[in-house]
Amino acid sequence: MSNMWKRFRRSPYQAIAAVFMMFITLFVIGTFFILIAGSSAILSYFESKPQLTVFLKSDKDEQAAAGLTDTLKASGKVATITYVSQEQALAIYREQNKDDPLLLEMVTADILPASLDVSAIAPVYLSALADVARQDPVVDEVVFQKDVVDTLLSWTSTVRKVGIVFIFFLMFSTFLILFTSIGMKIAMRREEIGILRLVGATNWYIRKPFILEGLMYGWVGAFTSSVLVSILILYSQPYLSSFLRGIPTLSLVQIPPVMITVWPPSLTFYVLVWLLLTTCGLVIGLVGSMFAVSRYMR
Amino acid sequence: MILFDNVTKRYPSGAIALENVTVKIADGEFVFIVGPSGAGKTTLLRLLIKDTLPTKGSVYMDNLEINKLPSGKVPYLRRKIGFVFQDFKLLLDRTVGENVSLSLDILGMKETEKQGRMSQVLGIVNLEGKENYFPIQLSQGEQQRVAIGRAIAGHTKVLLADEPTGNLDPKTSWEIIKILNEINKTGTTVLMATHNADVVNSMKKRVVKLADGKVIKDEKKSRYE
Repeated sequence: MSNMWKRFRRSPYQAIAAVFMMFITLFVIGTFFILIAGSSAILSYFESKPQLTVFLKSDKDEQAAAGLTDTLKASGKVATITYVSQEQALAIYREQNKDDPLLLEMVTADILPASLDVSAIAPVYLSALADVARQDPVVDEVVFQKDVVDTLLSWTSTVRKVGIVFIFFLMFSTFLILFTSIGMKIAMRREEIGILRLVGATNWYIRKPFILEGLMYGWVGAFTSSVLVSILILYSQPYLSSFLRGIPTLSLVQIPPVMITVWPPSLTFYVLVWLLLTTCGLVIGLVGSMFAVSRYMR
Repeated sequence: MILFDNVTKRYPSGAIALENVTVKIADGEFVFIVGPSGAGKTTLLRLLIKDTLPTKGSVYMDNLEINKLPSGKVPYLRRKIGFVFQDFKLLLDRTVGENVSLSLDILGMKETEKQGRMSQVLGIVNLEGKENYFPIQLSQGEQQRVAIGRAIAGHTKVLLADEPTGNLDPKTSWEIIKILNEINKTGTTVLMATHNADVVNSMKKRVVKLADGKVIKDEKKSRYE
């Protein structure tokens, strides 16, 4: 350990380059992970939400809606169906816009139509259900949330693809930098390695410091990038909370007892990010130094 | 006990370094290996630490067939055999103490134990009080003594010296020889390859003479010629 520190002090530039590259890579991995986790969570939130909103003509009452509800249920394609009365719609509207008195003043229960929030067993049934609803005389308009989901889906997959390509290139360059910087150190200390071999040092004894060095780079990079990613999450929380207005929680995994809440960011989520970055850092560090050792120490 | 049993070493270039060499060395012996350059002296020593392999024949140390030793076990063999070179092979960015304790670090010795053994070794090679010097601050003779210190620090059974006085003036050479002789008196087997006729003649030890890879003389209490 003390030897490692001594060596770092004597030639810090390569080490700094390696750590910095590691940091950037892990930071990008962390950022994309959050983006992917967040968008997947938003996607699954919308997928589980009523995907069809059937607005009723404003002079029709709950009994008229009950008839439609029965018709839709009879099709066997409905997962859930909820009636939202004009008063409930107003309450929801008020809650969503409680900070804006101007918007609140303008709206009364009469303006807002009553509606049925319908979610299908599977997305493919949505258009059939919409057709059934449209034929009913009480229905004013049918709004798909499918469009929202579709946009989100294509967005998520783009983020994922770009992220994977980007991360792959970064990981590869980090690996190369690590490989060459450790390789150069091995080459520079060839004489010492030769002497160590002569006095009976085992392979592991000779390799250990270089492998530890690679792991150290990984760990330092992981630690600093975790800190920065955490700060980023905390910093963006106010902006996100206005963006995600109306969505109480978003979860990535929801299989009890495992619950990873992405929004609002839970401690488990921070730990997950930290674990991911540390694992990636250590793996890159280990692989890079192992390759350097086996290539330069024959 | 060291035994070279009918050893032939042919290099890929076709050059024959050793041919049908059989030499037996008992524990605690002091043996000079002499002969002109290219006679095979260095090859003989390198075979003992499995730094090179014989083309034919076997090399034994204490009934251990060195040429068949798996590479994972070679480091443990080398811990029993110290090696001293003409060009010292010291680490110039390390102090005398650090150079000597290199072989102790490898053994995983504790710090206090290491300090004790180090001052003992520095006593043997007459370098007391110089452990914080860097090799560049020492004379050639002192540097060679550091190398000897490093070679014996791990309580080696055998000390191989490949022309250890080759770079040194006669007076300094004698200091080195005296130290090797002292080390030999403590029971360590010493094999020294040399060109130095004066040293060989006045020491009156066993002499193995090589020429063109063959043993042409092997006598006790002998001379260089």
